[in-house]
Amino acid sequence: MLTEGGKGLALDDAKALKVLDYMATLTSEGLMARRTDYPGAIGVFNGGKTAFHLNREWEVSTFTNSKLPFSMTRVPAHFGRPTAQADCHSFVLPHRKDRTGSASDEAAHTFVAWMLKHSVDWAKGGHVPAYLPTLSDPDYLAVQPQSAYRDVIDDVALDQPAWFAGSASPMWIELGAVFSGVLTGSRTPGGALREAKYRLRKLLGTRKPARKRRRRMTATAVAAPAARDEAAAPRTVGVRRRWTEHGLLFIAPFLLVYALFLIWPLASGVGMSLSSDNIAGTGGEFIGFDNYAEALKDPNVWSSMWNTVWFTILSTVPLVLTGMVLALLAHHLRVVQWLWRLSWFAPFLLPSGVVGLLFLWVIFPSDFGFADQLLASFGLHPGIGWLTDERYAMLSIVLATVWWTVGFNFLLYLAALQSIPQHLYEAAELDGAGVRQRLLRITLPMLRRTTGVVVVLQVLASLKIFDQVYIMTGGGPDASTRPILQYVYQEGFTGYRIGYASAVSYIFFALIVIVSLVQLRLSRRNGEESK
Amino acid sequence: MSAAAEAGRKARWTPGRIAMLVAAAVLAVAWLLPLAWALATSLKPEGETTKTPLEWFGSKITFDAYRQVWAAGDLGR
Repeated sequence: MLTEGGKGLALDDAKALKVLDYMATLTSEGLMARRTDYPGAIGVFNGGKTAFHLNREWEVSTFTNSKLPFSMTRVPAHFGRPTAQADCHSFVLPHRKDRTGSASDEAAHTFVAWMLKHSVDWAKGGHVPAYLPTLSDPDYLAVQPQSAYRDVIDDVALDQPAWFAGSASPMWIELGAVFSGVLTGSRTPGGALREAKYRLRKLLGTRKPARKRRRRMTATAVAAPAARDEAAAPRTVGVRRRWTEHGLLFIAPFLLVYALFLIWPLASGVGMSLSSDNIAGTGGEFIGFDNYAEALKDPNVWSSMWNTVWFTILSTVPLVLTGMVLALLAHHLRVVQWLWRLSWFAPFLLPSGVVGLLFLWVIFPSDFGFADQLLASFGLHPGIGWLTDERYAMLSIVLATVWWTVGFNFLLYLAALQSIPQHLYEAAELDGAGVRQRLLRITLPMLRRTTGVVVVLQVLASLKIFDQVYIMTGGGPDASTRPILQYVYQEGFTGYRIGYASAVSYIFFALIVIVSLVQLRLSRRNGEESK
Repeated sequence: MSAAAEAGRKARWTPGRIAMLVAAAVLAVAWLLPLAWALATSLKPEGETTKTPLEWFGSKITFDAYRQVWAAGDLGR
């Protein structure tokens, strides 16, 4: 796609259109599933409903369970010879200067020899071996149709070197998003080609991010002002505290840890955000507010910031309301209390990785996922790409998050309900208040303080959204669910621009501070009113 | 609250309280279903985990997946 040296565009429009047209036919003629999420595509392929699976990794072993008489077949040759898109796997063997002797060389050779010896096994899984003796190995030739690709090795065309090219590179991600639109039918082949060329030109016009002097790697992910666990302690008013030598001594251990792990990283993050700091190379000179200026102009910052805010808006309301309703139910139904507590709190005990994978592979895949199967058993076939359709991906993440974390709010509300003095209800009952009046005039007003705390904790927790999204959608489809923290991570740790990532962090930090101040203001006003 | 009052409260099943019980039961099932389904899937033979239409039990109950996790994670050591 790129000219030599990766400086210009070298896309053969006619050839590209031919391939894109072919891709469009795959789904328009029903040879391949239109929904292209990986688990979903495997599901329909295994069910014998489609003949093609053309997405992400090529793992023949996955398809051996399929109902089709073949687990893999050759893609029709478009330009006379069999073709395949592939990237190679590379392994880094650590090397020590002081140990160039035979022992370490031999260990390296043993490893390489072992890899080569198993070439046929790799081939069975769908890999094209590059080890020449394997290509004429009768065992390999017997692996059909994989060995049909043996000639592909002779025609290897390497990607031209460019900072944005290669496996998992910006080019790879952006073009993948465009081309998968052809498969889903949301883009025409011609439109996809135009968009691909536009994006390629844009990448060509972007200067390589600076890679400079290696410096300490300090975590600069934003430290939100309040952790969930720090449940609000009752505010003590009017107690005058005096600093004494003893007092300082008592808090010294905490102060030391606090300064070392919170204040120092925060301060050094500010320093980094003002530099062209980089975790990959040399450099790191002071560049003033250039990073901030760039971030404020970066559409990715704004879109991921909005994704985070949108998630917070979408998730906070159901999480607070559901938590309250569940607590009211559990508190007022005096039967099988353990069951209510178990079912609504249990998911909260799961780690984010487990929840993410559960929803990605078990609940949300198209067709065989539990959500689709459950709807199908009621005769509904909504055909929702839960995590793959831009219209539903964020809502699906909210749904999973509500299921996962509502237990915490439920617990806070349950504790609050249990601490409402019983005599209030008894007095109200004597005065002839009905169930509804007791709920509206006693329970809900008494829950006001708790609601304030729950909302504050929930907003802060929701703003920190990262894990579930990263696991379930990786920020996709087409970055539509990518939260700001993922963008920070992406820029800082996979793009190496730690200075720029720090600046984005601090812009997000500013947003959190503003939100916290607004909430403080609101809760104070509420508090004064209720006095 | 006195013990008698509590007993009285427990025994009274008004339509409102029955509706609450039904709502709570539906919500409890909704919250437990994903976990139950994950458990059911973990006990199916690997080839049947992506089978449609919905079936809670595979052709047989197998602990193969657990065996694999145990071996892959070297949990026995």
